Amino acid sequence: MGIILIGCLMIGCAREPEVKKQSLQGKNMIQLSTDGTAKTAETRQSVAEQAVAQIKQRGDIRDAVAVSTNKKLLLAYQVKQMARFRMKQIAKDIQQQLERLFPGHDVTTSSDLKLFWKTDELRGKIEKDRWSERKINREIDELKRLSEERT
Amino acid sequence: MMGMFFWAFVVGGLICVIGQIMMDVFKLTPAHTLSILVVAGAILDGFGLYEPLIDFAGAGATIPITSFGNALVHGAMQEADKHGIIGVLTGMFEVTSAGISAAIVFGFIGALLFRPKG
Amino acid sequence: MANEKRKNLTPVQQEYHVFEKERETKRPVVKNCFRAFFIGGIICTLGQAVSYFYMYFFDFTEQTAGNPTVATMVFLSMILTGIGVYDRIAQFAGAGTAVPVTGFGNAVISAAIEHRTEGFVLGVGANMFKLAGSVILFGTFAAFVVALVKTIAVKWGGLG
Repeated sequence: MGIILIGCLMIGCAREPEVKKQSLQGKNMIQLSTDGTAKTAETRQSVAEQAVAQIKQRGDIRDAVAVSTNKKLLLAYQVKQMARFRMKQIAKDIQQQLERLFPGHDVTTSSDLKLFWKTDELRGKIEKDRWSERKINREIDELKRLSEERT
Repeated sequence: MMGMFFWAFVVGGLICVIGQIMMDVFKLTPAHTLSILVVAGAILDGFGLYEPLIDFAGAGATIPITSFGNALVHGAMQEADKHGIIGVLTGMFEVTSAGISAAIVFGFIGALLFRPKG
Repeated sequence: MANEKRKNLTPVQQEYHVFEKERETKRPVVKNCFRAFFIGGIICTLGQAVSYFYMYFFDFTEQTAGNPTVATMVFLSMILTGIGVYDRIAQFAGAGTAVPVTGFGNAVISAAIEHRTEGFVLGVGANMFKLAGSVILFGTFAAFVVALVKTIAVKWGGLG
């Protein structure tokens, strides 16, 4: 019985990213016909890309995703399973590392899976919809608030 | 994410095995067993050992009753940080409330819905 | 202590004790542990699935998904207790169903249902925590002591 249950869960999980990708592709096709270039957004995201590259070099991180504006940087990462015991320390390290790298930015980091999904979604939207700086800032603040909730 | 399910299964299962050994080998009643586990959870959190286990095993550490003790200590410590020593008393149920209030509410609903057997 | 007591018994009684020990059904500890591991593990895996459900479809994070997950598990245990399935699983699994929070829910809910015939105030209200009360008492008191000691240690001992 348990094996069946676990099997079902596996299949369920395997499908999730696929569904997400499809929905994003759909959006992409609609947006491409109306939008021109998205240069401004791209240059702004270079900070985010740099941060992701830096964090992904760490041995204890499985994946990372980030969005940035001129003032703010939001990075969500997934810690490797066996390193999760040390998650508190890792979180502190990453926060410090990024604050040192980008002293001009208001840095928010999170190891939370929900934040990881949300940040990934936000990054996709920014790429496709050419969001204004203010809108991204507001969205980052919203996610920051979510990451600080405790109970 | 798959690793999470696997370790939730293993860690949750192992905590249940500890309970089973207490019941079978040390011949304790279920009420004694559960009380000891809750106290153990509280003490483990006192040393800061339970939180890493939750980070590692997710529901494998939050679903067993040991997390009840952990959550009580957590609520108390959170409030103690804000309001000093009196917070220990007032903050205790801050985090745990869900388990107890759910048990009370659903217990009453259950009593309304179902009839005793036998 | 048990040996001292036994010395006061007559030889016939002692003989009976030996006889009784031999006949007593041995608890199959290993088998029970395996069952507890399996069922307890499944309940926790189910809990993990529920918390991912809340995270995926609602705005709950890993931190905040715990509360609705626990409430959902207690709700499930209410349904299973009410239709009499939980007790049957519990007979098979032992601690595997008692240790997870569903066991706590089961203890409260089955006590509530059982005492329903005595009325809602004197029966359900008064007996609901008959079984789970000790868990709440010792949990709360232990947490109080631990938190108090830790607060004092951090504040005045400089322990961090």
